[in-house]
Amino acid sequence: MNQKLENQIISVAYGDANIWQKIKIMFLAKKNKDVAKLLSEYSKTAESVKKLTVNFPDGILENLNVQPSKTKPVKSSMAPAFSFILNRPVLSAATVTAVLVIVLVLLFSGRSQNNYGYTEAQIKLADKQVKQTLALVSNVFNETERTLEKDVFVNKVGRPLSQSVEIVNNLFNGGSRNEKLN
Amino acid sequence: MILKNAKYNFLVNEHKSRIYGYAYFMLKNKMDAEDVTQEVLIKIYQNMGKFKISSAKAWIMKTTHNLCIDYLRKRNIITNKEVSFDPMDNENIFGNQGVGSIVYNFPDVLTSESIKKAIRALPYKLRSVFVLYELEGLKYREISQALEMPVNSVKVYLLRARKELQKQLRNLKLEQVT
Repeated sequence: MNQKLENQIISVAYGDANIWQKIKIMFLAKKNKDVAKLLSEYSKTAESVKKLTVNFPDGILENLNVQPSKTKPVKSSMAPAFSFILNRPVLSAATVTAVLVIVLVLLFSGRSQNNYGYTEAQIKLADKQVKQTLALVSNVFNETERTLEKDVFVNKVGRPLSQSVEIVNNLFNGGSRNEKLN
Repeated sequence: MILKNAKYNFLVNEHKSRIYGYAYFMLKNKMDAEDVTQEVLIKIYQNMGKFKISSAKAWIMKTTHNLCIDYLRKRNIITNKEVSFDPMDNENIFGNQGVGSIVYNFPDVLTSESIKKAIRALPYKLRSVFVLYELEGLKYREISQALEMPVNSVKVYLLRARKELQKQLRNLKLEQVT
């Protein structure tokens, strides 16, 4: 068996080979027992290597002065996607731009709508009612002002006041006449 | 500061197992692997601004690799034979026996321990490339950056590591039989 064939068998076993190499080696393995045996061995090893795990001892982080937060890493299904995006600067920039555009569109499209869920007719009616209320209040103030000016000041304050002044004048006039007579 | 901590937490959670796994296979010793992992985590925190998050994996593995070398030098584990391993040497790793002529029984079931033992028995440079590619999932380019070697050398080392691993597993089986 030559080196090139052996290398191809190894690549197929470890899953690195292209489709044509795979077909070629599978075909050869059916015809040649040595190829089949070698492929089987390497495949067995490759499979075992891929299953191999080394458990990370958490004591390392506990003894560390610079400790990461104790929160456990989120094992969400989105983690590979985030990792894929974050590891590629162009994708990261594109994602940030897309998010910004979405936020801006949402902000500006939201401005034209009222945020309280009232219809246009309800708003007009409320506006009309506010104007009517203000007009009523204004009328009350005007009426009060008129009453104060024409009735309270003239009849209830001004007239008694002028009568009082007249009485005082009369009293003074009477007094001075008596002094002249004496 | 908050951003720095968030970045650090992300990097630690993402790479801690990778760092420990690599150190464990390179140093063949859990205590030393733990020490190296701690040192790498501290270096990540101290050098947070010196690498981009997109190239963090290569930077972290390069740092881990360099620290492993320092530890091995201290322990004098790298033998001259391992250091002088030539990836371009096309010597048949099966020795004078052709693959087809070997009479052996490959183990039917490969236990996790036997695989780990065989990986640890690989020559240093083959082991580093094999562990980074097969166990830690780095790409050729990332391994090339981490170990500071051309991509073609990475490919050659990987192929030779796979062959050597197979040889080690056969030897393990033979040891068990005898």
